[in-house]
Amino acid sequence: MNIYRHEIRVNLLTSFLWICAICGISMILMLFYPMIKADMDEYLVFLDNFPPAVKALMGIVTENFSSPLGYYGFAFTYTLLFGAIQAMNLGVGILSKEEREKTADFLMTKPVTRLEILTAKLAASFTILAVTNACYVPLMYLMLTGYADGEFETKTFLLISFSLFFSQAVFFFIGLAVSTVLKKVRAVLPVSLGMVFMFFAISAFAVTSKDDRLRFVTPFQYFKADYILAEKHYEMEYVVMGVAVIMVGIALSYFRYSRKDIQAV
Amino acid sequence: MNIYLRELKAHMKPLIIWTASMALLIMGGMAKYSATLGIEGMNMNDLMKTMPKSLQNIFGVGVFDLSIALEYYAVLYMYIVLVAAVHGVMLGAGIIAKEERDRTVEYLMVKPVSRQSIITSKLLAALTNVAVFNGFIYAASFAMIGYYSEGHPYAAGVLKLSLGCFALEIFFLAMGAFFAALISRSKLSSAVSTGILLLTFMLAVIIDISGNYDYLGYLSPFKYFDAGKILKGGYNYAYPVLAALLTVSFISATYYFYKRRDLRI
Repeated sequence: MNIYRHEIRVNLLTSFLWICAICGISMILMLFYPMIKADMDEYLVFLDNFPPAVKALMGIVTENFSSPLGYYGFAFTYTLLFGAIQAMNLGVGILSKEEREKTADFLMTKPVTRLEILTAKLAASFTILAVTNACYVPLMYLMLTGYADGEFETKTFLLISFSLFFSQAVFFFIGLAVSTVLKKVRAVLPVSLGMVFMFFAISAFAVTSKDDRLRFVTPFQYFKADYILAEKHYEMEYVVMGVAVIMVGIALSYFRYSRKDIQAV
Repeated sequence: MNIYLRELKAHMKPLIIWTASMALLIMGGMAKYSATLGIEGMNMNDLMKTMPKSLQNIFGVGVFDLSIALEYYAVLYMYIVLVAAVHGVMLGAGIIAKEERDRTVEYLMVKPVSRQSIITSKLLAALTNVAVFNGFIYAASFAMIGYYSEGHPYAAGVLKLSLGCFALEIFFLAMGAFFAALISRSKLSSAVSTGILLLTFMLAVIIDISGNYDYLGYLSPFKYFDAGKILKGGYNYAYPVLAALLTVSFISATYYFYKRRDLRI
């Protein structure tokens, strides 16, 4: 319990800044919705001059953007980027910092097992991620219902929004597993940012279609907002993949950390 | 010279990892290029061009004709630049801050070298890393675009874009070094420069979405080397001048602050 409380306390300021960043960026992006909506309405009128085949095609391309939820799905990409960095930083840092800051032998002399240490640290990390989401989701709900005139698909909104938490869990455990596998993590940010931005770049330009196998490689692709918007549920195989990554991450971290040679000062 | 060689050796492994992932990313991204986008004789790009500017930017096509390999590459360019910027900022911040972080600074300071020559060696080593990294980006891009170009001229375009990427990375390298010299806590200094990188990236995204705040581009380095303007003309030459001025100021300030700084031991 002490370790849990300590981790929450030392992460308080950082987490507060992350919550502000994630909520702030998402809000600013959503503020542009009325402008996009106006452009879109104008464009749909303009499309009427085109042959039906073209109209149908461009209708599919632009369909999502005529509702606040559709635009939210687009803006969510960037929310997810920020959320991923937060989770990855936590995952890479939370265990490795003891060795980096030479506090590992202090911790190891306490009457707690390594498994208890890891469990307390995981609990603290997930409290932080949960609080982040608990601030983000209601805020977006208020903004989006404000924009929606008439019907609002709460279920679709929640599916997209909760995918932030699931994706963060995946990124967190990838980071944690990497930090236990590496012999020494000298600094958190180069490792975590390198991984997040590589995943982001793969997701942004190497993945071109819905059926691309590369989608399994990057967690940014496990919960596609446009799929959720169309089908109103998650893609099962990617949920399974995400859960598998989390399970492997947990197993690997516990296994590696329980028998890791920890350098004393 | 010893410090320069020492830094090169220390950064060898990360450099190989970054370079290999980047080359794979470019190859993977360009492999998805196919010249046949569109339906029934109508070119998808002409259709995209009927959309308002804000929508074009959201779909990530903007002014580009995706049926030409070089312009297809220009869409990927934004993400290549993002990854390069992360590499640059981490390298610049790390190479200055690592001595204090790893508690090797006392050892270094008792050597008969001035602080100025230490910074010079370190910045040259970082610059060598960036040059090698960008050399590979250029080679991979040139080879992939050349392979798909089908007679369209591309050599000058790739060179211009790659030089833009190189200049941007040097800018972020200098910024990272500056904050590491200014702020003695390595965690704080790298967090500050990463924060600036993320915020300016989001600013560039927002400028694209809104489509009419181009003058804000001066605030975001990601807008200094805009692929659309570089390839299609209308490039504002105030941008590279501004980038060069800022880079030189950051580097001078790095020397200034490191020289008179109280080292954390």
